[in-house]
Amino acid sequence: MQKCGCAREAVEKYGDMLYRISLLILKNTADAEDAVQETFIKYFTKAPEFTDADHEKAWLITVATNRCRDMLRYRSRHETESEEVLNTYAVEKSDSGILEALMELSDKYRIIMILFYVEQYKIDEIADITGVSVSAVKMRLSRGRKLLEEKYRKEYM
Amino acid sequence: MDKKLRKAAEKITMPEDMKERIIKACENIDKTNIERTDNDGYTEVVSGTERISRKNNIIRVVSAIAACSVLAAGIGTTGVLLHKNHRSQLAESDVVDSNEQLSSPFGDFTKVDFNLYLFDENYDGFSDETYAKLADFFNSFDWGEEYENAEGREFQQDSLTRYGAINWDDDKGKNSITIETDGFISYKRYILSGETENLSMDLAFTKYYMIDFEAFDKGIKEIIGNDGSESAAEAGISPFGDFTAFDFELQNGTVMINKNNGRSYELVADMLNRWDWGEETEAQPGREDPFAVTDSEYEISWEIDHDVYWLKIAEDGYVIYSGDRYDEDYLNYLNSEEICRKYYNIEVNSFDEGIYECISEAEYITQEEIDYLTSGELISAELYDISEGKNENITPTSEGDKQYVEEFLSGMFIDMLKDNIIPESQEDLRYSAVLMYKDNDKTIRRTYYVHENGCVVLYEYEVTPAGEEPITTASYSVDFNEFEPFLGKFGVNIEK
Repeated sequence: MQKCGCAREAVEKYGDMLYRISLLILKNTADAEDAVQETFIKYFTKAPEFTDADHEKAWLITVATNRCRDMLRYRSRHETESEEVLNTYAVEKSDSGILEALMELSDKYRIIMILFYVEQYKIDEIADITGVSVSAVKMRLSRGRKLLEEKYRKEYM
Repeated sequence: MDKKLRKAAEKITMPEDMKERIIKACENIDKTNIERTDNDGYTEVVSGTERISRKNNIIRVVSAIAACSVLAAGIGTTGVLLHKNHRSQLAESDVVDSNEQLSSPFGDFTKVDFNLYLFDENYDGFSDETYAKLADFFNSFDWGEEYENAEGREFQQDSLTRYGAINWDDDKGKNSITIETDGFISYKRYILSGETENLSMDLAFTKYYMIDFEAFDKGIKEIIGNDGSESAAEAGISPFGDFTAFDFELQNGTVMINKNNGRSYELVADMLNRWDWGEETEAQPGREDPFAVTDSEYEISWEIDHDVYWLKIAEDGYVIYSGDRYDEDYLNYLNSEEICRKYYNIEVNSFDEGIYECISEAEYITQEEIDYLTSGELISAELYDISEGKNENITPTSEGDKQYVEEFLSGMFIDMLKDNIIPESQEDLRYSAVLMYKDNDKTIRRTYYVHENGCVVLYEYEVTPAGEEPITTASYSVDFNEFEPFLGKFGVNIEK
């Protein structure tokens, strides 16, 4: 499959999705922008031949989430400035609560939850994308959901 | 709630100005991805990736400038310095008639005190005899004619192709030869100039050579391999460094081990040091990039100064070792540069068994760990039944029982924790114990998830007005059959 020929086409097609994922994982707009930019750069310089559009999308998500995890890993060892990310978006008050609750979860749950609930990937696909086992995805999804419910109900309802 | 989450998340879109910035960056990359073919038919893909980061360029320039001084001053954590003052002994020796064998364009190595650095090897030093052999080897080695096609190429201290360097001083200055794994040799000569009080070391010339690297490496290994020095594995040091010398974190799908795991952590560190990682191999097609490998069974990461390393071990035993060097300024931590990447193949089932042996050695956590987990002034301790999707506070309501449970959870329960790690299983999730502490001006929440199979997972957070910031997480185990009856004794309804 031919990958998107020009930068504008690729960014228009996948930019929002990758940014959404990166922002929810990293909780910082500048970091999310960097993660997305690095993902696209990798896409244009090192992407393999894709078998179909799904393969292409999954590859982009894999590269972006891995980059985000790498950044989180680094960040866990260094102080970073926190940011009220959702304030910069036109996200309604009723919507921001659940996103804030999601962003309070540990990143290992957050990544899985975003891919499952927001990007609507299946469990086995998430396992492929994130590189964790199917059982670990199930476990994180289950526990993440409970934690999200707990946080959301406690703080936003 | 699921739909609400999706609906809310979908409202997040990339701002237009950001989109334009990224498009522009990608277009610049596209333009610099020039495929170039030189006269030899050698095709080189010039990637423009690094141009995006101004600091990467600076690092490269600084690295080039600093290469010699770094080489002269010392070595990195994985490098090795082989140096002896062997000249006087060699001068007295009549074993070698060096003039007869001299083909070195750098002069007679038997007449100078030279240092040999091998960047990615672990050797502890060599005998004078070995140095004599190395000098003979360098003297007789076919360095070839001066190489004219270097095209401005310079040795990079952090290059993926770095192999080693030979440095020596003479009366008039310094000499440095760098060797790369593709056979590229750079020879720099620096001379002293200026007045006595204002001496400076100026580059007199640079010469390049292209050697048969395999022959060179084989010759070196044959000499130093017979030296009797302890190999890295024998010394209990992995090819990635000494796992007991830095803090690492090991994760697979269900287990995480870090320094909070005391004894298990020590055992795993020792195992990683002594594990037979085998010889370095080639990258598997399509699995060259550590970011794109999605089937990692284990991920091990650690940081030394500003270098972050990780080992990804896939289910089939394919291992990628890589490292990135980050800027010192944490706000600019995105400016990183890859400093190493290597590939190995291991027998993953044995590795897996080894890890589980390490973490299944049951020992109670140390007093130091107990002190940490009980640090601060206890504010409250609550017990929840979280089996089968419940989240029910089952802390007894009567004052007496409540106090007993609080004391049990904050005291005896912690004493009952063991270091061995049992994989988490969602189905086995039974209780959560939520302990709040006040530690100076901080409020700390430590929540222990207790599974029926004995697995205990701790999540520690700092509670701030802005929310909860994760501090750490760690895995332990407890004898569930010992733990649960205590709860029953203190008036907790332990029926499911």
